[in-house]
Amino acid sequence: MLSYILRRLLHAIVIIVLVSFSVFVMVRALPGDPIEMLVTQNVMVTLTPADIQEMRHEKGLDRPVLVQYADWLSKVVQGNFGLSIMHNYDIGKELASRVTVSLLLGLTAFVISLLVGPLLGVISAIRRGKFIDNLVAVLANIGITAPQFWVGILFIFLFGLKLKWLPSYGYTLPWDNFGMSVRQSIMPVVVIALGPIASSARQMRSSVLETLGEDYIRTAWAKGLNEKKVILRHVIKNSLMPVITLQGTMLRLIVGSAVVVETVFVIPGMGKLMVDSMLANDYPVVQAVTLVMTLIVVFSSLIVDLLYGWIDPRIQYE
Amino acid sequence: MKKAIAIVFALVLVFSLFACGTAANTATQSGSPAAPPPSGASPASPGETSDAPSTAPAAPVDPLNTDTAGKPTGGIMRIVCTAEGANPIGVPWLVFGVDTALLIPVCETLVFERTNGDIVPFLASSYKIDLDNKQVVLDLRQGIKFTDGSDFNADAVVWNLLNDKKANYLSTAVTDVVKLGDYQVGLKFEKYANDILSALASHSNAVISKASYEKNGEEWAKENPVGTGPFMLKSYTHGASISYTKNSDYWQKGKPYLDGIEYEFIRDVMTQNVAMQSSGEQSIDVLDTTNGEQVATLKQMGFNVNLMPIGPISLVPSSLDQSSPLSKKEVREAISYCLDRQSIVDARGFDVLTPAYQFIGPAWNGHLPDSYNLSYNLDKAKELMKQAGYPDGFTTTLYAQPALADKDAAVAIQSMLGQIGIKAELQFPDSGGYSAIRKNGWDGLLIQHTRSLTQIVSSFNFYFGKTQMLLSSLWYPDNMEAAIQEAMTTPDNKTQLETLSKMIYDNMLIVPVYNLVDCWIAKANIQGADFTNWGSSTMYLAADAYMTK
Repeated sequence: MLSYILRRLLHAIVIIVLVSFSVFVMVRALPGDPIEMLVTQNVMVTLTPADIQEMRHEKGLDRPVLVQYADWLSKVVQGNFGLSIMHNYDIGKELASRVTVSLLLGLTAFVISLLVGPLLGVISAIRRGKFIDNLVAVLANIGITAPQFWVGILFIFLFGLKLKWLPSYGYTLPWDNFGMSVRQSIMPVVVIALGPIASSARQMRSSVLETLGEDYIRTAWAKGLNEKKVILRHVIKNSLMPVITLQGTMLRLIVGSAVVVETVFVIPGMGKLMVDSMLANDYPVVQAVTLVMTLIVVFSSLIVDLLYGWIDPRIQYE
Repeated sequence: MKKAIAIVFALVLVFSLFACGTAANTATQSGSPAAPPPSGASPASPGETSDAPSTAPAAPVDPLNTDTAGKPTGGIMRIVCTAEGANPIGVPWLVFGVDTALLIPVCETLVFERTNGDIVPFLASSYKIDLDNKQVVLDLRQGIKFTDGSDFNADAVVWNLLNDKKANYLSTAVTDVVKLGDYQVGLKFEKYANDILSALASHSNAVISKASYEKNGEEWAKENPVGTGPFMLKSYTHGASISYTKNSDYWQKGKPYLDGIEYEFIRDVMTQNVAMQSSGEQSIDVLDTTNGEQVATLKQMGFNVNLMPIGPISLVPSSLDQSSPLSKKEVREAISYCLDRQSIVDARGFDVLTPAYQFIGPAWNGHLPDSYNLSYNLDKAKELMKQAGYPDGFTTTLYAQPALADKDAAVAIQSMLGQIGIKAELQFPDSGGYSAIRKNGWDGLLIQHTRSLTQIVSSFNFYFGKTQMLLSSLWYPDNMEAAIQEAMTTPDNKTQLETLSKMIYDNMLIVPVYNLVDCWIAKANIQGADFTNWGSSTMYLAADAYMTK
C-alpha cells in the first residue's frame, strides 16, 4: 500500500512538472504581451521603448523561456509564487483566499452530487419504466447536455431577477455571514452539481439494473427478504463501484467548472482568477492557478483510487 | 408519457429563452438620454454631419462647497464601475489603469480638472505658473491630516510627487519637485507644458501618508491606503468587491454624507443589469459603462443616465507601409466618404452614440467647423478610389478593438467598405491578440477607440507624438511632432490644436466613425456625486454624494 502511494506520488510530481511546463510555454505562445497591455492600460503615462524594455527586464520576461521556468519552479517549491505582472499583488496570498472559496463551492457541489445522483439512479432503476424513471431520464439528459454558463444565466434571470428568491452574484464566506453565504451558494452549487448528478444518476441506474439481474439478488429475493433490505444491503453496495469511479472523474470536472460558474456568478474563486489573468496575459497568475488546480486534481484522483480498496477489499495495491 | 415530459421541458426551455431574449430586445426601444458635453462647450448645430451631443450639460458642482445644510446623511452607495478591482490600491504610483478609480473615496489629489480643462485647486489651495522661475508653485491647504493622524504638508507632497515622477506619472516636462515652504511646493520645468497641472488631477498622483509608508513599508502600504479622503478602506477582495467606511474626521466639515461606498466588480452585462434591478443586499445604485445598448435598456427602466463624451471610435489605417493602398490619402478619404455614420448610429447608437467626423469632438478646443466633415457620399468615394488607382477596390482586414468597438457596427463598416470594392475580412481578436497586433504592426484597419483626454494636446501626443507606441503602422507627417510640442508648451493653445486637427484632416490620418460616451447610470435617489463633469471619466465627488429616500 505504502509503495503504491509513493509510486503514485512520484507520478504526480511528473504530471505536475509536465502540466506546469506546458502551461508556462503555452501562455507565452498566446498573442499579446503583458507589458504592452500594462502600458496601454494607462493613457497618462508616456513611456519610451527603452522604459518598456526596462519593465520587461524587471519582470524577467526578456530571458529564455527555460531559464524563466527554472527560476519560477525554484521559487514555487519554496512557496513563493511571485507578484502579479498586471496588478502587482502577492499571488500566494491571493491564491490562499481564492482556493478557500473554490473548494467550499466545489466540495459542497461534490457532496451533493455524491448523495443526490446515486439516489436518483436507484429510484429510477427500481421504478424502471414508471413516471419517476422517465422524469429522471429527462432531467439527466438536460443536466448532461445543457452548458453551465447558459444554465447559470437562466438561473440568474429566473431566481435572481424575476422571482427575486436568491442573490444573483457575489460570495460571502460562511464564517462571515452564514445565511448570506448559503443563499449566495445555492445557484452556483446547483449549476456545478447538475452535470455530476445527471451523470452519476444514469450510471447508478445502469449499475443497479445490472446488479438486480445477478444470481445473488435472486437468491436474496428467494430467501424472502423484503425490497428495502435487498436494495440497501445487496444492490446499492454492489452497484457503487462504477459510480465511485465516475465520481473521481467528476471531481476533476467540478474543479474545471469553477472557471465558468465563478465567472457567471462573480465569485472570487480560482476559476475567476484564472479567467481574469488569462484575459490580462498575467503569466505568473495563470501558472500559479493552473498549478494549484493540477495539484487538487492529481491528489483527489489518488484519494479516489485509495477509496476503491476500502470499498472493495478484492482490490489489491501492488 | 416520456414524450409528453420531454415536450413539456422543451416548452419550458423555449419559454425561458424567449423570456431572456425579450429582456435584451427592449434595449432598442429607449428614448433619448441626456448627453451633456463637457462644461464650457458650445454645442454644434444639429444636422446630418454634426457630431454634437444632444443636450446641455448639468451645472458643475464646486468640490469645496460648504452648503451641507439639509443634505441627508447615511446610507451606503454601491457602485459597479469599469475598474477591474485587481490592483492593490494603497500606493497610487503602483496602481495602473482603470483601478486608479478605486482611489477616489480614500486618496485625494492636489487639484481637480473639469471636463473643459479648467483646473480647480483642491488639496492645494492655489497654484501659480511662474514662467520666470520655471516652476509651478502649489500652496497647500493647511490643517489637513491623513487618516493616520500625520500632517498633510510640503514634505509629504514632495515625497509623493517624486515617487510619481519616478513612475512616469507626472508630465515629462517636470524636471524636479522641491519644497518651497512648510506648505508650499514647486514643480520645476525647463519648458512649461500644458499637461503639468492636468497630470496632478489624476488619481495616479493622489497623495498618501509618507509617515505610514515609511513606518510600515511598501508591502503594507500597497494594501492599506492612508489618504486624506472622506472614506477609509474597510475591506477589499481583489476582483470581487471593495468597501469603504466614512472618515469621521474628514477635513471638509459636515462631509461626507454617506456612511460608506462599496464597489462590486461585475463584468457580465446581464449580471450588471440584474444587480441594478435588485433590491436589498444585492442592490446596486450606480453603474459606469460604455455599452450603449445597456444604457438604453436601463434608461428605459427609469434610471438616471449621465453621459460624458470620451472620443471617437476610429478606423486607423496601416498607412506607414507605402505598398499598402491605405498609404494613399485618396483611399483614406474614400473610406471616410463611404461610411454612412448616421445609419450606423441609428442602428447601433441607442440614442446615446453620435456620428464622428473629427478626431476632436465638438466639445473641445481643436474641433474644426462642420465644413471639414467628410460625410457620406458614395459617388465621391468611388471617384476617389478611381483616382487612387483602385477602381475595383482591394482586400484588407478590419481588427475590432475588444470591449469598446461594437461588433454589429464593425459588421456595418465592413459592409459599407464593400460598397467601394474594399473587401475587408473582419477579425475580433481578444485583448491580448489585439494588443499584439497594435504593437507589432498590422495590415489593414484597426477599429480603435481614439480617446479624447481633457487636456486635449495629450490626446494628440498619445496617438501621433514621437513616443507613441500604440499605432506602430500609422503614418503621420514629419512636422507633426513639432506641432504637438508647440501646442504642448503654449498655455492658450486653441490655435495650435486647430492646426493639429487640420493636419489630421488634410492627411486623413485616421477616419473617425462614431463618438463613444462613458455613462454613469444611477438610481434617482443618488445625488451630489457630480458624475461626468470631471476630466477623468471615472471621477466623481465622493465627499459630496448623498442618498435621498
